[in-house]
Formats: sequence, structure tokens, C-alpha cells
Amino acid sequence: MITLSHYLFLSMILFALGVTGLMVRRNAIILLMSVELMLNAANLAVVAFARFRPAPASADNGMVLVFMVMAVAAAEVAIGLAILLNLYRQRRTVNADELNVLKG
Amino acid sequence: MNNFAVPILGIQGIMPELLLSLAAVLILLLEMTAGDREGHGALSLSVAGLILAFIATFGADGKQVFSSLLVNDNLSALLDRVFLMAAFLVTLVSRPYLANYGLAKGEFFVLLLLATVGMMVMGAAMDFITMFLGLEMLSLSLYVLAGFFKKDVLSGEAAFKYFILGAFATGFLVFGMAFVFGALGTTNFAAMAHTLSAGSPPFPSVPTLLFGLALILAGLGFKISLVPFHTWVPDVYTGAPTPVTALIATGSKAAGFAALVRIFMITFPGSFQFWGAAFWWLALLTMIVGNLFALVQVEIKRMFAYSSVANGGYLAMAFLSHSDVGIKALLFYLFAYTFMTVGVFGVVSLAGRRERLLISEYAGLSRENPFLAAVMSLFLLSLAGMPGTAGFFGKFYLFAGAVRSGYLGLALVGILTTILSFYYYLRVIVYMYMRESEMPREALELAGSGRTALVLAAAGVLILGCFPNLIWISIEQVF
Repeated sequence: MITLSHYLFLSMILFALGVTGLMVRRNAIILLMSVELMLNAANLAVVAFARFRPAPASADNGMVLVFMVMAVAAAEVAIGLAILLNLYRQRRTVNADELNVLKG
Repeated sequence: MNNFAVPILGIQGIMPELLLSLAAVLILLLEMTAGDREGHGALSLSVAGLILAFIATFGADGKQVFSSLLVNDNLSALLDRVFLMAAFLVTLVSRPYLANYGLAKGEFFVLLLLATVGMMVMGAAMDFITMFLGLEMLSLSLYVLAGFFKKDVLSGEAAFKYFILGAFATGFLVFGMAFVFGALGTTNFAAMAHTLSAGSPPFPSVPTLLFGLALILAGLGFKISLVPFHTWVPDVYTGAPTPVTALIATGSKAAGFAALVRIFMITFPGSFQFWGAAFWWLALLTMIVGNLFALVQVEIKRMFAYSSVANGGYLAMAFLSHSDVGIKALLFYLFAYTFMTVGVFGVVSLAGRRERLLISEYAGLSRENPFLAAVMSLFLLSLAGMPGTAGFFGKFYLFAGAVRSGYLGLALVGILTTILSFYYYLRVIVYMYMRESEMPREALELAGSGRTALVLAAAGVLILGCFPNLIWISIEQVF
């Protein structure tokens, strides 16, 4: 029997993977993918919560949140890739470690 | 079929947002058809849109619109005015600044307007869905604006860092929203407060709710740059075009605080025992770290970046006086902070033909351009909290609120760090008035709109400083 805690556990793992990816990976494309992982972990948690909510409460607006997050994530990637492309044209690299003109 | 009733939309409830979006679309069309190369049309359209939207904010009726997704109350109207004023001043400064770099294009103003719409949606959001959409509309526009100088290496790097850390913060925010939603079964703030006050326990347990709230605080903490979530600030503020920095420092920060007020102070005041301590530590660390780091900077934009972090700490103090007093003090300081911060970044935009000047390069500015030096001194004194300027009353209300709620220690730290901040603010004035410039610096000739913006910001600082009641009357009407 798969329960809410299974889904939440999976969602936590995905989120942790995303955070770890952002911290340790240096390729900017992988950073973008890690961000997606974090957002999708959140989506999974929302859907699981909505599915396992005890009746009578209806939790439909959570589903709307999920769709909004998906749509915005797509827009975010589009902008992220544009920024990345511009960066690549300037420097010929997408390695986050080499972006150190500003002191940090 | 009665659950398929036509919803009452309430277009009049989003009039300011609609007017700004309309102006943005018109600028895009103008850019495409008329070939507005100099950006004159874009400037006048933005100004017209911002003024009309400002007038429209006076139509607030306290109603919830779009199935309670947005609320049109006095708080959102007042916040809208903060955002619109910031955007208005930034727009006026941008024109001469961009013209200097040959980049006065319509899309800059379009993005600026859309970012403002995002802020306004965030300020009026009564639901996680709209809050998230507003935040992303704001952030996505700002990412592009930060990288607007496509040929400039630093601008590109700033955009990239801002984007990655902003997206990281959004991840935390959405994950937190998921858990708060899970605990209470709704994304609507009013429904959440209702569920809690009705006594039904969070599902499956209280820690679910608190975990969600903590993640939301971390996510929004990034946006308003509370220490330890401030690491992106100096780089992004330095690398981004200066008028964009002004907008990030004022409008975007005010929008983040608006979201925090809606969630923590209005929806979950009952959980203060859990989140109060978090705000205490965040405010303390932010005030100390921001001011100490500002002390040692040599680059002027970096110094103001840390000064802006420090101001976030003062603002965070308002959350500890968990009552109307805190929100009112916060609103007043947001007005004051907007005027003086747009002011200093406005002067930085127009003081040199080159980006990223050092503080020592401001030597002799009073001789070359007495007007710029005079308004800069006024903004700096206001940031330092000199009586007679807006900053004094802003800090006074915040500190008084903290003392009244029994946080004397925190207020003392606030006062001590303010005294510390005198050093780095006054240092700029000393350079401008008492040192001779070593090499001639090419100053921008002050075009009309840039001068207007600085005069307006200076007037705002003085009026709020001498007659705080003028704005306090409308703040009193919030509750």
C-alpha cells in the first residue's frame, strides 16, 4: 500500500537531489536541470497532499497551483537559457566556477 | 449546474495592473511599427501608464476579486503606490542613463513595467497561486533587466547569478507552499486563517505547517536579501545596470516584504511563537552583517548594496511588533526607503559616464556638479537617519515599535548599527565636498527627466522628513 508518506519521502529525495545538484555541479545547464527537479519535487508533494486529503475537504486549487508552477517553470527555463546563451557568447564557457569577475 | 455559476471577475479591482500592462503592450507595438529608436515614445507611454495606474490605486474598495485570488484593500493600494513611485523614478532616471550607452530601447521600459505589475500582483495576492505568479513575473523581468547590457561581461554575469540564486529561492518557496497547502488543504490565505481559527488541526500534523512556513521564509528571505540569504546581493547590485539595481533594491524588496506581511502577519499571526524567533535572528544578523560589510567597501555600488541589506534588517524588525503598529512602521519606512534609495542609485547612474565608480572617484563632485552633490548628500543623510529627513522618522517608528513590543536589545543593536552607518555614508559626502578630484571625470550632462527624478526623490525625502503626517494619514487607514 502506497501512502502519503511514501510520496512525501520521494518528493523530499527529489528536492534534496535538486539542492545538492545546485551546490556541487558546475555546469550551468545542470544547474538549470537541478532547479527543475526542485520545482517538480514541490509539484509531487502538492498532488500527493491533494490526493490523500481526508474527505470532506476538497483541495482542487492545489492542482491549479501545480499547473501554474509547470507553466512558470517553462518560462523560467526559456529566460535562463537566453541568459546562458548570452553568457556563452561573451566568455565561451558555461562553467559556473569561471564566472568570477564579480568578487562573490 | 449551479456549481458552474459565472464568477464575478471584478475588472475594476485590477485597474492599476491592467493600465500598466496596457502601456507595456502599447510600447511593444510602437517599437515594432514606428521604430522608436531614441526611446522617447516608450518613455512618455511608461510615464503616462504609471501616472494613470497611480490614480487608479485610489479606487481601492476592500473587495476580493477573481474568486478571492486578489484583494483590493487599502494595504495593497498603499503598496501599489510604493511600487509605482519606485518604477516612476527609475523610469525617469533610465532614459538619460540608457541614452549614454546608446541602449534607450523600448523593451527596457516594457520589462520595467511588467516587473512593476508583478510587484503589484504580489502586494494584492490573497492566494499562493497569485503570489507565485506575481513573484515570477517580477523576477523573470528583473533577470532580463539585470543582463540588459548584452556586451558587458559583468552585466551578463550578474544576470546569471541572479537567475540561478533566484530560481533556487523559488524552489524553496514552492516547496514550502506545497507543505502549507498540504497542512491546511487550501492555497487561499483567508481560507487558511479560517481553518486555523475554526480549530481544525493541520493535516497530517503541526510540524508539516511549520516546515512549510520555514521554507517560505527562506525563499522570500532570498528575495529581500536577509542575512544569511544575501550572498547574491553585492554581485548582482554591482553588475546590473544602475537603474535596474535601484528597482531591485526598492520595488522588488518592497514586494517581498509585502508577501511576508500577507503570509506571516495577516494569515498566521497565531503562530508568532514559532516564527517570531526566526525574524529576531534574521533582523539581528542582517543589521550587523550589512552594516559591517558596507564599512569596508571601496566601490560605491557595492557599498550601497550592503547598505540595502542592512536596511532590510531594520525592516524585518517590524515583524516582531506583531500588530498593526509593525505593519504601519514597515509601510512608512518602505516609502522613505524607496525615495532615498532610488535617489542614491539615481545619482550613481548619472554621476559618471562609466559604470562602477569607486567611492574615491566622487572626490570633487561638488565643484563639477553642485546639484548632484547636493541631492546625493540629502539622500545619504536620510539613509543615515538624520532628523528632518524621511529616514529619521522611518527608523524612529521601527525602533519604537520594537521597544514597545519588548525587544529593547534588538532596537539597541539597530541604533548602534545606525551610528556605525554614519561613517560610511558621511565618507561619501566628505569625498564629494572636501577632496579634490585627481583625474577629471566625465560627468553625464543631466537631461531633463533625470534631473526631474532626483528633484522628486529629494522632495519626497524632505516632505516625509518634515511632515510625516501627510503619509501617516493614509497609512492609518490601512486597518
